[in-house]
Amino acid sequence: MPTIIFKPTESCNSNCAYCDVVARKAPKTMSLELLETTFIKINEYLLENNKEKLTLIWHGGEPLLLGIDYFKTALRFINEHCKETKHLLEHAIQSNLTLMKQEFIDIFREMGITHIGTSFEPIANIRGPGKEINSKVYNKKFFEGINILKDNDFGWGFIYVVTKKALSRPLDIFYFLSNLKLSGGFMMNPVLIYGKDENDISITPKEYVDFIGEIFPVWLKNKKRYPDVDPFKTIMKNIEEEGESLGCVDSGNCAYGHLYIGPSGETSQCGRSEDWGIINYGNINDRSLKEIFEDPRREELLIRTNYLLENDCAGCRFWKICHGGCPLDAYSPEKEGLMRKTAWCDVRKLFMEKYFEPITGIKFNK
Amino acid sequence: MNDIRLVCNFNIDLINNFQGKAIVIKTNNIDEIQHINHVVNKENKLHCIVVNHNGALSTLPVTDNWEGIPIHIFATRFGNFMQFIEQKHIYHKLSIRVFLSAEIETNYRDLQILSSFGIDCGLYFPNKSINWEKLNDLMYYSAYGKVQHASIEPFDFVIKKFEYNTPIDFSNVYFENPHQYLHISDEGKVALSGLDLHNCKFITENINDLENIHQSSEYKNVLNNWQNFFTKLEDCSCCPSWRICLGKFNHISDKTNTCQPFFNDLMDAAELFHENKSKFKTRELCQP
Repeated sequence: MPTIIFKPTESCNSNCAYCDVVARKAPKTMSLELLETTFIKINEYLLENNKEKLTLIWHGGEPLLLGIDYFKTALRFINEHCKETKHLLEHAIQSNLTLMKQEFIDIFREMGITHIGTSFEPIANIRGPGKEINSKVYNKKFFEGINILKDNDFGWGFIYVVTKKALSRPLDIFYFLSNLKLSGGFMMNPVLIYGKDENDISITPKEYVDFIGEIFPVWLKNKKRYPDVDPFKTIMKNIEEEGESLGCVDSGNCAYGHLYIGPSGETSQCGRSEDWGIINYGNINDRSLKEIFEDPRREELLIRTNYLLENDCAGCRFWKICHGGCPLDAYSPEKEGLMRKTAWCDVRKLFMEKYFEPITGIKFNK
Repeated sequence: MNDIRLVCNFNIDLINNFQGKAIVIKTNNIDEIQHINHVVNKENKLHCIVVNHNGALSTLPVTDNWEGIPIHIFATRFGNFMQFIEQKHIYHKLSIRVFLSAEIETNYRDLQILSSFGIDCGLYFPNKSINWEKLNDLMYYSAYGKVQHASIEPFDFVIKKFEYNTPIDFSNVYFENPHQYLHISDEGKVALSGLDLHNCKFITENINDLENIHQSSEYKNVLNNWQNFFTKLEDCSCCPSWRICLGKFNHISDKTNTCQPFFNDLMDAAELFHENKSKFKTRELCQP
């Protein structure tokens, strides 16, 4: 199922320490005219590919900053322009929830959204608005948002970004996140810094591995208490299913499945490629979605998978669950092209060899 | 709000305001027990009678006239063993649960005896001054003891109600969980707990608001109080057993060496029971 990472606004009401998108750019918001064009193009694509479903992930910035009227208009465009195809269009949304209102919920429900992806940070002054990164204000608003979701039977999952400030307390963080949502549904990702680390929060791959490595045996022993915790759950699932459920980062198969559309209609492979400012597929105003999804430059990503299997990753015991990792994590401004394994390769290996295999007793074979 | 149970004194004028409600009646007068049962069950359903007995359990004259009436007795201590033995056979006929104070050390031992007599019992925590080691010993007896014995609260509640994805509030045992119990003053004012009632902290002064109380922002705020723990990374929010305690002992300064080990052990017991549920037989008692 193709996925569009749709970023109609780069504006954000938070000033998270690990996000420099707003600082880096003058944040833009997609005009209603372009929004309409986008849905016309989506309709054209789905009419031609009516066996496919398409997922549109509303992303930001903070998408709720667009306001209720913007989403109402989007819904009107969908109803007007995607009459025959809207059943093939699934919506998802990633929001910090701090601006959540009942009116948004009503519209989201009409769009078929019943679950919202978000993020949370228990350490003070990493997520929050203003220069001082006011986490008190952020958390208060976040919980108000959570309560609105709860009142409406909406589900939610969240991402936790591991920063330097978290490194000394992996289990405290893990219990905190688990207690926050007993039914699970969170992912612990390493902080990714694009450029200068102004807040001194970056971590080394090894630090990330040791962080999740300390949590892993607790999770493994009590999997029923702590369901749906990633990266652990996905690793276990993919071992059981031999890589059937790998996400875009590990599947080696993202080439034709993903598309980023930004606020000016610019397109790219995904959010990460846009963050790096590489892989430009042109503007939605000038090209059809079909043309963009079939852009010959995507082939490079597929070739990369085959190339890695015979080169960087030849003989790697973990190929089946990694496939060389995310091509965008392989990118470096200093090196040309993407024909190399992810920069996080050593991390994965280290986690598997230092923690996963000894603790689970599961041994990967070549 | 038909699923909310009401907790109040035995006040006929007040009770006449309710219809079809499950009601917990607080009384210090044991001579009224049968009368309370009769009056409350006319238009409502008696959920339980709570008797606060400021003395030894052994001095409380129980009678088999109370048969079939759900009763919780809160006594300070156990008292004289021989005196109690004379009444033991009556307790066996009654739907009664006996609570002793956690502040008196001998009560931990005496609850074990009561439980082994087949009398359902429990601890209550007047000032949250607790001997955690003794509490843990009692919990081990309650959860793992192979000799036949009756339930001991609040362990039994936590163990039986444990679900992986749901928090458990054992305040239910004491009719103090505002999700399920509201406390009503003689004047019909509504409080969220017995303590709030005592401190005249009401969420509404009008009994007629009761039906729509779930829409009151103050009520909603109290139900979401647990979120206050998650505004900082410390203490209860980082406790592996938060889900079965919900920060009830948050005032304790050194949790890692006090309440946390106890609740970790209780959670292990609850999980074990959950995993082996089908092997256990259960008895029906007044469910808090």
